[in-house]
Amino acid sequence: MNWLTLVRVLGTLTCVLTIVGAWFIARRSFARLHDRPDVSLGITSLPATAFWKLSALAIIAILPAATIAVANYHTFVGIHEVQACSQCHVMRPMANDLHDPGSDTLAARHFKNGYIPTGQCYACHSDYGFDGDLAAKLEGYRHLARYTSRTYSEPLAARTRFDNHQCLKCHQGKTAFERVHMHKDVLARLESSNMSCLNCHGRAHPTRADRTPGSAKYQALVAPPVFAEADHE
Amino acid sequence: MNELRWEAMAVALGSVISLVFVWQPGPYPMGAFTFIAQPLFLVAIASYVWKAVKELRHRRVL
Repeated sequence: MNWLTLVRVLGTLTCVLTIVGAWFIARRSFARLHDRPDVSLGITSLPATAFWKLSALAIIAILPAATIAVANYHTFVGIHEVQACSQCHVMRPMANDLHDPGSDTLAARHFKNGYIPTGQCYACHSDYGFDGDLAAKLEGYRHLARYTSRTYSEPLAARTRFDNHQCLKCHQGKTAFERVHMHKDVLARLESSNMSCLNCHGRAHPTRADRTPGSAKYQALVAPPVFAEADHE
Repeated sequence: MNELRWEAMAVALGSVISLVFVWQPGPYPMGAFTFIAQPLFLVAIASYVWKAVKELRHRRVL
C-alpha cells in the first residue's frame, strides 16, 4: 500500500467517523443523560453519561486531531510530487517545460536525461515553501494564501536567491564537476551563492517573458500537464 | 457538561472539508483545509477542553 492510499483510507475513516459521531453528539442533551439506561458495549456496560462524554472526547478532540495529522501529512508529503506543484496553474509552465523533450532548460535536461527519476521539483526546491524548515513552511502558507485569494500577479518571481547547495549537493565531488577547472576557481562564490550556476549553465525554467499572460507561449505553458507513471513516487 | 452542539457542528464541517482535500488535493481544497478546517478543529477542541476542565473543577476533581 503506498502512502497516498494509506492517507486516503485513514483520512476517510477519521472524517466519516467524525461526521457520523458529530451528528449524534450535536443531538445529545448532556444534562438529561442521568435518566438514560446504561449503554451496553458487549463485554461491559457504561452509564449513559460516561459513554457520551467519552464519545464526545473521541469525536471532538481525538478524531479531529488525527484528521489534522493525516491531512498535514498529505500536504507535506504530497508536495514532493510534480503533480502537486502543477495543481497551481502558475507552476504549470515549469512542469510543462520539464516534460518538453525539445526544451533546453536545466530542468528539462535533468528530466529527459533521467538525472532525477522522481519528485523533480522537490529535488531542487526542498529548502523553501512547504518543502523546507518551519520558517519555510510558514512561507508556504503565505504562497497558499496568496494563490487561493488570487492576490498575486504573473509571472511569479522568486523572493529569495536560489541556494546553490541545491545543485552542489548532487554535483560537487563528482568527476564531471571536478574536471572543469572553472569550478575550482569559482567554488567559494558558488558555495556562498554569490554566483549563480545559471550564469554558465543556462536558464532553469521558461523565461519570465514566456510566463507572462498574453505572451505567445503562455497558453501552451499553462495547459494542464500530462504525467507519465515515471513521475509518480 | 454543557451541550456540545456547535463544537460538533464545527468538527463535522471541518471533516467534510478535510475529506474533500484528502480526495481532491488541489490548491483550493488545501487552502480550505488549512485556513478553515484546521482553525475550526482547533477552536472546537479548545472549547471542548475548556468545558471539560470547567466541569471537572466544578466537581472538585481538579
